[in-house]
Amino acid sequence: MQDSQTPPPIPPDNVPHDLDDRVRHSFRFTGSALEYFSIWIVNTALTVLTLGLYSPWAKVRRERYLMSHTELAGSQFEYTANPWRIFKGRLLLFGIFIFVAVTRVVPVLWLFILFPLVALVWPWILASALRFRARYTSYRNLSFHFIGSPTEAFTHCVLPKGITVLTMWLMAPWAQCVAKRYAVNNLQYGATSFKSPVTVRQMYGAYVGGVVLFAVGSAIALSGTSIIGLDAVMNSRRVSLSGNVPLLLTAGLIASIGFGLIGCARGYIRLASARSVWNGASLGSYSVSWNPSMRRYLAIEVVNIVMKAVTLGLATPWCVIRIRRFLLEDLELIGPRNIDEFVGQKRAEVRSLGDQAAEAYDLDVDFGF
Amino acid sequence: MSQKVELTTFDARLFDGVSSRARQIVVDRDQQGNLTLHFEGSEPQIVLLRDYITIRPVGHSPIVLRMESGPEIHIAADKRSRAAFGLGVSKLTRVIEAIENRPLPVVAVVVSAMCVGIASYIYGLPMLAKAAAPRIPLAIKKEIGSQGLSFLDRVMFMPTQLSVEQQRRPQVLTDRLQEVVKLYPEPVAITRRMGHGDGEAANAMALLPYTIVATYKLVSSLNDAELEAVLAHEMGHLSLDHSTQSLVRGSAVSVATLVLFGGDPGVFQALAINLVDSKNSRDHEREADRFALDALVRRGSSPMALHAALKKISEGHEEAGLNAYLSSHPMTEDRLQAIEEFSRQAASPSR
Ligand SMILES: [Zn+2]
Repeated sequence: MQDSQTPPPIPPDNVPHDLDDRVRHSFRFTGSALEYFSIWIVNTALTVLTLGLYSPWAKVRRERYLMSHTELAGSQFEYTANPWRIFKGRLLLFGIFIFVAVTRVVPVLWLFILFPLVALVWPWILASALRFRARYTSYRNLSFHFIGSPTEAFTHCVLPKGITVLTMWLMAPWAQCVAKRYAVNNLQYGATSFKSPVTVRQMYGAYVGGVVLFAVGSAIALSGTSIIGLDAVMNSRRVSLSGNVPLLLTAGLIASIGFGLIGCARGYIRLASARSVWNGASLGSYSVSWNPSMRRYLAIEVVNIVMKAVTLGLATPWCVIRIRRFLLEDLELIGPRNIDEFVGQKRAEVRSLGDQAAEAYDLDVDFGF
Repeated sequence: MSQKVELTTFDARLFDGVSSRARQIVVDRDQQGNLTLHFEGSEPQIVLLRDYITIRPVGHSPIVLRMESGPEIHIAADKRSRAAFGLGVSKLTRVIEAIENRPLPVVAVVVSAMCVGIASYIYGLPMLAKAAAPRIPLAIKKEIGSQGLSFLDRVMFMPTQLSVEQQRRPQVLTDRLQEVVKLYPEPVAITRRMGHGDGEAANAMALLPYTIVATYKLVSSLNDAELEAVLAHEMGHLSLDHSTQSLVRGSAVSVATLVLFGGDPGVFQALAINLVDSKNSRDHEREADRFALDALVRRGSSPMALHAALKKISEGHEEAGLNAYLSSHPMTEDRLQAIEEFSRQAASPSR
């Protein structure tokens, strides 16, 4: 048995390696909305039926679909995570979530004992989330790796975020820049590291546009939600209220427009900062070229929000496919014709300590997002 | 060899697992489960299919033959290759795949999921709330109550303009009721002004875990018997811990939407919680009325005082149709009838 488990030697190939023959390798997304819809609806239904227990399996199926329909130079990406690992990680994160939700009510306890405790555990979880995602994403049978440590997660993500709060968010672009560098420069494909050219200055540029959109959006959203919020408070505190439906609906509409603009602001910052993180990034003798149009991106995001609202969420798979196709169609890897310079070896399995932590931190390094 | 060996041939890509190099190969699969890998310009290799894990395609991704710490072979998925390699996966995956690929099972799963969702919403949620509410520590309820009051003081309430004697009326009446109902912790009744002019509200509300707020207009427009009835109703809310139950329900809905949709559901969630809660709050009103009627009878007061108070409060508030469904006090007619029914029975000699 042991004998047959050792891989057979692969004969050498005789393809000439011409490093000067640089070409643009385009990414392609080959998923279809209809196909993804059936995966998504079954995922959602089974998650409801199992009261949420199925969600790690749902995540693996979703990621497998999205990855395996992402193509570069004729080969597909793969997502190879084991749902059980995600399940265990989520239990932990869920425990922390409940803990935080409950203890938040008692501010003194929260501020002086529990908040520092969570702050200490958080970097550990964050680093593990990034490590987990990288380890179980592979391309051409070589997996990605994340080599950032929890200590760095603390100094590059948690601490800057704290400083941001203390400086009234004036330092937010700087913090985001530091965090993105941590997430990208510690990422390896095989044994080769990514290197992002992002500068603090570029990040400030990204945030200025976002802040303008945000200011307008939040003013509108606030007026909408305060009407709804007041109504909810009055209802649950048993104050007789007219139960005015037109009022509620108008307020909901106003709030939706506001949230749409806030979403645009977030979208603006996300794309502008992701662009500066990835466009020009290097990987070995390859460089990344990625310059999607902001106007088209925001238009797609707005249409997505509207479609989701109109269809009560049923259009979600369609939206996911649309945005992914748009983001990938402009992504290119420029370098030697045969992508064969990368090497690596299989590494140990890693634990998931809450796979959603990286999403919560907006640090997902999944092709620019 | 007497047995005829049938070969099935596929174009494939091989990745060795130590480099990112892609090798275009041809794979022959025979009935015995042997794979012959043909490389361009070198000798073919024979490997055993059972050494590889077959990863089933999702969507139209390729079939992947994977060896732990070894090479990976990608073969385009079609009818022929699926038949040749589509084996050796867990039952769960096969069931899910079968569901995904046919419309009828998809519909069946979605419908049953909706049933479960709605059932846990209508029956599970109130049960959860009733079970969880008493287990929440009093300290937390107090904190929520005081934060709630200070929020309302900021956004909605104004200081009362009642004379000191009038201001003390709700507390005096509450204390008298407390002699029969004996709530713990002891209720505290305060007064606030809410709204202006015609929009001024005559009402009362119960805040976690022991505060009753009576509005200026309520105190100034009701007589002692009526005010006592309203306070008894609010004590009913306190005694049955309705606010905590609403809170638990709201949190449960938030957690559920978080699990299902991730991220921030925003407005839709707020609307959902609000819409959802109105049905439960109508049940709560009935329960609180019932509590109040019992308390009034035990105090020796007339239950019809609640009837009179409700009528005064609801004056000028017309509710119909969808409005009636949305509002938390839409049931005035029903509630009045229930009170009449109760006092008829209380007055009848048989009881
Ligand atoms: Zn009530």
